[in-house]
Amino acid sequence: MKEKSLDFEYFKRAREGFRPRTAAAALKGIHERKLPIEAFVYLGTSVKPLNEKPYDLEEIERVLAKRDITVDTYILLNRIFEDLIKSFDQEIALFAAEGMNAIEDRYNKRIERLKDELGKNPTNAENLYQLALAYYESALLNSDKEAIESFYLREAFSYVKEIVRLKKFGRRELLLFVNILIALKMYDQAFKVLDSVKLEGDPEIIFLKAKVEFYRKNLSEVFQYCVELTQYESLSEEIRRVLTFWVGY
Amino acid sequence: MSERLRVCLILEGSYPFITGGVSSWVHQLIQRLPEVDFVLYTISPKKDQTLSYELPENVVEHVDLVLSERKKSSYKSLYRKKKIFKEIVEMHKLFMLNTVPSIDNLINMMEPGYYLYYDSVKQREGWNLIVENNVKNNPIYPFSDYFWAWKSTHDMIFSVMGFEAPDADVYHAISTGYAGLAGVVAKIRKGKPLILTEHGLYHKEREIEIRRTNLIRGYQRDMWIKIYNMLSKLTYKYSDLIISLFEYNREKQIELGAPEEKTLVIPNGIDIERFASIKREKREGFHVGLVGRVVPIKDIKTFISTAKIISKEIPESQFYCIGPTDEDPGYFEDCKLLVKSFHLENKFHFTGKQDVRKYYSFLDVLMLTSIREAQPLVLLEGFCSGVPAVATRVGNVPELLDYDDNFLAPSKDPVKLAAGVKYIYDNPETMQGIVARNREKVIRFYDREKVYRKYGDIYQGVARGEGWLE
Repeated sequence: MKEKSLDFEYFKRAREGFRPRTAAAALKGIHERKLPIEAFVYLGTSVKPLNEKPYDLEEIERVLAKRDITVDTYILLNRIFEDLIKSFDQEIALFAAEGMNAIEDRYNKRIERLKDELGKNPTNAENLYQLALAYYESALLNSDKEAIESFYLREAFSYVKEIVRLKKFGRRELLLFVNILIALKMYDQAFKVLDSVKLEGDPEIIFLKAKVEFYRKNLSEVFQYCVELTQYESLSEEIRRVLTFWVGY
Repeated sequence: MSERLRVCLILEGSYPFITGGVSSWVHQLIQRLPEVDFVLYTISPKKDQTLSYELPENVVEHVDLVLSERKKSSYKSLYRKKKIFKEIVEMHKLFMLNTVPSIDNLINMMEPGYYLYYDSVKQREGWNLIVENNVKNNPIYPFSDYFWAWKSTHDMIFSVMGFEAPDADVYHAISTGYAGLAGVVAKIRKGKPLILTEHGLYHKEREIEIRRTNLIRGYQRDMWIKIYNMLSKLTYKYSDLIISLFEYNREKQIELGAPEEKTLVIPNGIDIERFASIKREKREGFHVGLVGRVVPIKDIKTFISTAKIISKEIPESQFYCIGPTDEDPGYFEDCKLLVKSFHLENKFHFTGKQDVRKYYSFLDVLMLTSIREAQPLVLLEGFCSGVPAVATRVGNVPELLDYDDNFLAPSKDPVKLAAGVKYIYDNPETMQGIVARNREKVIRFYDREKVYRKYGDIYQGVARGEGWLE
């Protein structure tokens, strides 16, 4: 039997009827027999990058409404909002300001909650790490505001130092610590920390060494580390991207 | 027309129950026009609210439409009910085409005291309309969800449509929304002119509130937003004169369908004498102040971030947040935490509510970091007192600051705001000229007495059917 091909006539007919906005809503509509499968196919396969202009404000709002957003997504959203906030249309500028407020509030609440918990148990290394991370991410979100960025970095730094003092310093703490030092432009100290750890063969550590050498303008060292990294199989997307640039990986 | 002019002010969520910018404006309008009798027609969520103002003597009547109180009413005549619903169905068809319908017939068919809800759910045509709209807008969620969303959006409209407005020569709605609708209904039933003054843009303010809440999502959110837009459009259609506080809002009103020839800008004014008489004195250090409530819309956190940047560049700087702190205690706590986090405890001061004149006498810069404003009077007060300002590009602010990029910043941009403050710090001679010009501008164009007098003239002209003189 010949398979029925997709019929996008639905879009012409559906002007007055129910039009789902998300793939999930379309799927529900199909289950309820209110919509043809084309509605889901269209929404489920339609890909428009969030930062493509003209911005899709509804989509931005939908992404922001989600609770489990990564810091990279927050940074992307913040960049979009920073662009939109300059709009001469005051409603769009306000939309952006509200969005930035929402992100800021989430971080403030996260920090407040962690501080409360830390108040009850000041030596809880997990809380210290999470606080340092929250401050570091806040710094990334404010990377264009030097004074504010540096305040957040110093706060993050103080919590990592506390973890060091408590001798509960593991790999993830090390990675965060070095990233904070890099952001604070303390490159020599960052390299010293990396050099002192016994985590040979860890591509993330090698990558951080390359990063520090790059900031110290030792480009031949960067190249060496990149060559070393090519021997590893499972590398993160970020490392692969860098290797492509440096050694054509 | 009686000897004394009788003006009915239609108010929602403001005077005389709640204090704030709009309420204070209404109170002063009444006080400044003693030759006019004012009738207050207020729309309230519950009855017997406490008055926050002592009503002036020329308030001769006050009727309060309490939205939570409804009378059970239904027409017995089936013919009459069918006629009403035929009209409503036609009206909805026009809504769908984004056309603002005429509602004269509908209002004239409904006597005061008639509450449309019961016939809507009991009359076949009414019920069919609800069911059809559910299928169109929300076929994938339970009907009960749609029904309650419909009820909550339409209930208040039915209450306003069924209420009898007090008699007056002129109706003056102080916003669109339900107050605007009440004005439209009064105009149709009583055959008297309707004036609208919008301090902000009601439909936009409600839209922001709706978007902010997590309780109203998806199609329900769209339903509320559409209704608020339609209420504004309807008020614009029926108003004889549409007043906004500044040009940007007038343009927005026209965009939403306000006939351009009916629109007019009348800014808010200030008490010139009160601020022009302030004696300025140079204090040691560099003093930056923000006059406003500690609430998210004023974005005090951006002020604190700006202070952090400035304090690095101008070590002798001091910062004052001058205004009540009790409106949003959670936000105030956050702000205090931020000040502490930035180690600004010795530089940043939350003064609470104060006589602002004391601060205008020594402030070097007035700052405004709001993410939304209409026409901020604090800038006018500051200008009149001789204080220059740096502010976010919101509402009427660009116009007040002569579109000068040195003093304007996008919202939430502490770097640009700090640069503005630094410009004032570095250029005292240039600033002298700017401060003098700002002061002159306020004295000439924003004198409160002249502004209220203009309203007196408008009431007279509109009541006589002569329009208004610009």
